[in-house]
Amino acid sequence: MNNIKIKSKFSVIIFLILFSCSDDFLDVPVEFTDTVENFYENDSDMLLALSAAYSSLGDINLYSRDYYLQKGLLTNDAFSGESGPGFSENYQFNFNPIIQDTRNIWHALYEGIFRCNNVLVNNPSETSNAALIARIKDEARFLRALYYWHLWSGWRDMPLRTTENMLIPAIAKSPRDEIFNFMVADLQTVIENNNLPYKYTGAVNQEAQRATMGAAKALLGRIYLYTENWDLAAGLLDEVANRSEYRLMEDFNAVWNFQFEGNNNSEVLFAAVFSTETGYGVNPFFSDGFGAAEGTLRSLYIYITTFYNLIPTPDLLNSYNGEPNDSRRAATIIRRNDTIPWSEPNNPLIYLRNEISIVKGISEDPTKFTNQNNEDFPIIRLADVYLMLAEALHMGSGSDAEAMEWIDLVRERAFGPSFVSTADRMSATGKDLMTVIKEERRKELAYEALRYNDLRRWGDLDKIVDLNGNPRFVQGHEFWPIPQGDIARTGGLLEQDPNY
Amino acid sequence: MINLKIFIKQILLVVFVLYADGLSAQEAQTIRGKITDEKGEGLPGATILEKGTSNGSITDVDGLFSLTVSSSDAVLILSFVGYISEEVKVRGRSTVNMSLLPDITSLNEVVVIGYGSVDKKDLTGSVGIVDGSSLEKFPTADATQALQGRVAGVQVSSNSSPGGGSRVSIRGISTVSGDISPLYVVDGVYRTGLGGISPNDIESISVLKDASAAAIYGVQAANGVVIVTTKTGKSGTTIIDVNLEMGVQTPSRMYDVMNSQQFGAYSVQFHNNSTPASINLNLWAINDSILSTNTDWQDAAFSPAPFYRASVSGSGGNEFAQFRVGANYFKQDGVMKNTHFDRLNITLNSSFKKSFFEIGENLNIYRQNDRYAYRVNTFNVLRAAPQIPLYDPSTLNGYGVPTRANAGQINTINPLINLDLADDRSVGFGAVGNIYAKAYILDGLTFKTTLNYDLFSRVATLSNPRTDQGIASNGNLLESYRKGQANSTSIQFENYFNYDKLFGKHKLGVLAGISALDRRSDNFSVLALRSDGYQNLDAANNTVVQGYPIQQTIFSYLSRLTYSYADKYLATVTLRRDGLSSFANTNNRFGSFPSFSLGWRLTEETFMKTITWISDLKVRGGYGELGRPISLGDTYLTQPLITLKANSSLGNRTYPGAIWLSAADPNLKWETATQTNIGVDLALMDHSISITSDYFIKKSSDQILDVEFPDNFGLGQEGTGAYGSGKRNIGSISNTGFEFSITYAKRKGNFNFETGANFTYLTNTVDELFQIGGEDLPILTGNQRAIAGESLWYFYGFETDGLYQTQDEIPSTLTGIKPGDVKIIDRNNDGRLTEDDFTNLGNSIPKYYFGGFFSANYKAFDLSVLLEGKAGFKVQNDIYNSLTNTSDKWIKSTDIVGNYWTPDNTGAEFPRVPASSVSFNFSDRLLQDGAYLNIQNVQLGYNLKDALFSGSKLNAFRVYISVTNPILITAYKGFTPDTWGGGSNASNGSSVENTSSLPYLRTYTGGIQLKF
Repeated sequence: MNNIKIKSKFSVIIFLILFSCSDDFLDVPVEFTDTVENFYENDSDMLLALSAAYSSLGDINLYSRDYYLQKGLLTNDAFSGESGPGFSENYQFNFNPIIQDTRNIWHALYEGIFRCNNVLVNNPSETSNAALIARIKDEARFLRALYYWHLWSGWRDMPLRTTENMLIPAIAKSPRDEIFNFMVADLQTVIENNNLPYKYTGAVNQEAQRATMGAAKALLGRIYLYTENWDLAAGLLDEVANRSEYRLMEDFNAVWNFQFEGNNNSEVLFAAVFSTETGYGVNPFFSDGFGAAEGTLRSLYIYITTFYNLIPTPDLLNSYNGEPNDSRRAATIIRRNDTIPWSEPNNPLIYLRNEISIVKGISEDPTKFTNQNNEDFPIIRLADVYLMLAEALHMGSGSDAEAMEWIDLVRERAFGPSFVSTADRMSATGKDLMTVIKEERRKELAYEALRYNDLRRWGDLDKIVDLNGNPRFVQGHEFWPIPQGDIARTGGLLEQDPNY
Repeated sequence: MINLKIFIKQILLVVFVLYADGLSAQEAQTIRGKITDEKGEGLPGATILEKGTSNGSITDVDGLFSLTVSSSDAVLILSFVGYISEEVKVRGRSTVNMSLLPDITSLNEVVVIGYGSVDKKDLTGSVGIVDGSSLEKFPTADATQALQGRVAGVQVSSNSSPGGGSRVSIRGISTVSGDISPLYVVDGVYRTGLGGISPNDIESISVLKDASAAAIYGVQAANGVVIVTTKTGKSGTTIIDVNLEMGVQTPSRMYDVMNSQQFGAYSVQFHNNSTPASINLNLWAINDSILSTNTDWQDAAFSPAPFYRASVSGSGGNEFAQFRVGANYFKQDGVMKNTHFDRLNITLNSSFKKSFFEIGENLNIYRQNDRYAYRVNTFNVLRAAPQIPLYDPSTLNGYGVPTRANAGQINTINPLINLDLADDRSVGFGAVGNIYAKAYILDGLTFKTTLNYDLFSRVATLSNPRTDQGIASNGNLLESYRKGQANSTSIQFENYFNYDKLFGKHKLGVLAGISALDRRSDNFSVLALRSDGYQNLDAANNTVVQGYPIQQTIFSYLSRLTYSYADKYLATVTLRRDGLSSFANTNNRFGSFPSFSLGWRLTEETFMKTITWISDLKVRGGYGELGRPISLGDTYLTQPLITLKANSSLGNRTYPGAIWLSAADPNLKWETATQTNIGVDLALMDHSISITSDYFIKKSSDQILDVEFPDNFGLGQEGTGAYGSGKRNIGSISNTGFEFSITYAKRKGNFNFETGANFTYLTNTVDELFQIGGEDLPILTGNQRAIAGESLWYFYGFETDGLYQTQDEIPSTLTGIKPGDVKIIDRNNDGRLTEDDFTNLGNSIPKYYFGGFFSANYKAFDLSVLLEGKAGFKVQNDIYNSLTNTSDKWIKSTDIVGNYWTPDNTGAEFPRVPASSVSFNFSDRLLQDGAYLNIQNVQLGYNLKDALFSGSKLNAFRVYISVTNPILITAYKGFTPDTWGGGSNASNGSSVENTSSLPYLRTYTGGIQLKF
């Protein structure tokens, strides 16, 4: 029976070898990309994550098109062009929680916040460059505050997504004061950390449009201004306005009509940046990207006949009247009988579909006269800082003389060489200072997605009228409603704005 | 070399030590004898085995044998395929003669159940069996088609594409998003289908339907299991088989579309009756010159196509070694021009046994060629306008093309351009098989170790030259050359013990083992834009390269205990534990799948012995849990992946951005199906009638569904419409059914016949799905919905009530609707036609399906008939619906000629021309009843052996003729209502005859079978 023993041993050995399962067998690595679990480990991963956080600004639903259009629609600077679903309802302030356009803006902003939180929640274990990681995190803090600023100026109360609750699918909303505190805390942290330069040096061509200290301070100044913390706003804006790194461009037209080519635009503190490789519709075969003009061009093109666009109001046109030397009119609005300096007379694509059209943000270079012109969209620029500073000074300390100097700097650039006569100076107009600040902001910043915020905080929403001069604003509709899908997908945990 | 020698010595030593076991001396005795059949003729190749040993012998040509047994009180087991085995005690005799009786009861049939087999009488689960011989009747490359109608509870859709496999579902559809296909196990190899396997090589197919039978396959068995056993050599006489068959497939049940004259009349009518506001019609020039062209596009693109099949095999062996080699060639041209499939299979099976050790292998290697239609489907052919010429020497390629003059805005393509010029093909090589070693350790105890493999590599090329398509809107054809390679490997290593022993009246069976499965695929493709037509990637500009590898592993523990007492009380308990790499970072990496079943053979009880007309009666029942597998393509579903898509520009440089599009649920687990089964097996009248009936309740819970997160979660990708989602377990689906099958066999002298039928009744209900705030939300695909309380993927749309006859009948709120438009029922009477007026228009999953067969032979003649059918479901025929849609200007079916509404023809079936598009919103008018009965195959054979080759070594020389799909009985208009699973929601099993459905094929074949 020796054989039985041999066979028994044989089977025991087989049993031991083969039945010892190892979990390693089930740990199958993903070979073609990183998993979320093993990402965010080193400097390169963190830069990729930060890049995604910047990327949302160029989303088709933000500065590539929709944010510009929807914010422009809610002003007395624009009428609705062609109507699209949701477009006409928003134009009538007939806000509705199921309108897709506003949902998309909401989603894109939270998408940016999620990406910022990803940068902030992860601490790479394999970094050798603590200074770089510190800077990356402060850039993400700035961006997170910037996305929240957009939400905060569009909706009343909203969910506050932080690194702590970023992976919880359904959360309730936070009052707008909490959002305010959160933005302020983020920006104050950035300012205190002092990791961001006022201007990027070194490999300047590659880094120049990252978030700067100036952008952080200006954004915080803007938030303080919006909440009528006049002195806090004036302090920060004054710091930025006096920095030597920033100066107004000589030519007003050049503020918008720029494409970054190695030189930072000295006036733009922060912009949504577009290139042939970013933005909506990028694919490996046919590279393109919508520039800032994707929205504005619609009012010019003949072949886009039934799609959203904005048409300038006579009211805005008239606001430039009486000051023929102000270059901002021609750089903002074009009339059908105006000379189109950049057009080719026989190019059928260049056609003014309406009597007057928006021209701001359209390249002077006819080869770039396309909806893929890749021009950047300034979000914070120095002229805005000057005007906000003037307003903060006037409303706060009452330093009207100083405020007038800042306004005149903006007007001087707009009037160019003709700004010689003291009659052009603001002080000579004899108008009430606040009226002038309102007029200058309108003329300087038309179609830069800031106007509705200004009208709302000034209590001027009743000035928004339709073609027949009837007010469009609906009481209680200062803010957009929370998208219905989010209320449904949180099972009602997220509650609607009580005005809807 | 030295190492090798030492190695060989060691191996020889081990073999010697192990073999020494067989040399134990005992009181040996030699026995001689003859084994005969019921007529007294010698049975060649019968097996004689000394009970409890591996000592055995085989009868020679005359049925004679001799065997040396270990003792004079040994017991011999005499067996032969198709005959009842007998046990004979030697009792010191030196001669043992025995006559074996043919086994018509099939009770002693051995059923393959996965990691083993059982006698049919001991079976407690629900298992359907298909004999290999019926597979050969179908002129298809893929054996799945042959399962249609053969087994109750198994639903199979037909497939007319060359080389195509059919979609099989077992006991209904129980998943919303997962795959409905069963697990296929070919000689132990886990597969997703039967591609690459020649039906001629299949010995038998077992379909494991209930949880108790399928539980040994655990997480992969929720859809049931189809076990395929290929043919092997048998000890005994050597057999050589040669089969030759050829035939022709004819496209049948084609659509009748308008000719040029009729289409011209329709176009004029359409144009003249269009209101000016809606005129967007650039009418084609309806003149004699253009109308003189009358191209029959169906005739040009579809034609009868040949079919060939040839196989040769040789098999044989003795008690120590068995082998079989074979080759099969299958060639099928598609009825659509220039489509093609062919496959060459070479198979080799062998096993060798010495002492307590056995080693063996199964190998099937194949090469297949496919040629596909590129961007041309049936609908393109049917919609091509007849006034466009087939050929036109003045164009770039010499083909007629649509022009403004001959087509207006009817810019159909000339389908022949792509069928003839675009070359879309693939060449695949595959190998499927295993190599194993088995040790007979103790009496009844075996250990088997096996390495299974399934390898496939395919190179696909597409050459798309520059073509002139005229004004065809399908002109976005890139002049390109594409080449890609797809490689997939599946390697499985399995080790298990089997212990089977009889202790008095207690029969015990134990299985314990492990299985490790590793699946990978690695694909890449290169697309080069090149207009010169060269099949060359060199120096091509604008290339796009894609591809990446994926991998999945599964580790499993298997165990099964079977027990029976006195052949009367039967029990099976199975437990399988599976670990999946797909769930590696969840809390559910491992899961257990238990099942049990019990059986009671009442006919073994004494109180039943008096009822002689009941030959056998068994009641059985079982319960178990199974899992639905995660396909290789979805294997990373629990791991959010980083995608580099969100680019940003900063300065003059573009930075890729890293995002993730889904968030993992750490509690995600596989879909679980629990199944309860109660069944009866009954044999009557001396086993001439056999009845099997089952009732089952199958509940599939924890459906894996994509759940959208709130937008403020912040997942998503800009501009893609991706708002961010994650997989969650939600909801459940129930299938409840009743299965019945009956066979009757009769032998009377020279006349034998057997007939049978099976029937299945199935109800499918979605128990629970998405809910928001307590309200059920539907999932929509096309016009079909899934929502709690209804059958999965039922049709949902408007109800209608004929046509409006007068303006007075039309509510004033319905603008644009005129007499002659479809009267859509405004169910909520709000004056508008909205989604709120939709209702349930019928289910897409058949409620009833059935099959039947009849076979008989008289002397040298044999005849067989196979049929199947389904009922209780609706079909959406996209082709017919378009060909009768009078709201568009495209060509129509001749059904509408003289049969559309005009003020003078108010009894017409079809709406006015042009009708409001509202008339063709999805409604019950666009659904047809799917009930059908299909005669699948009729075959008549005659064995010429006795007539021509009497007395020769030739065993059979059979010639036969066969018709597949001779008759389809149905009211359905279209190719066939049996399109279930062929629609665009193929994975969901939708009943849609879609635009790429191919014609119903009627196939005439003739063949010769020789057996030596």
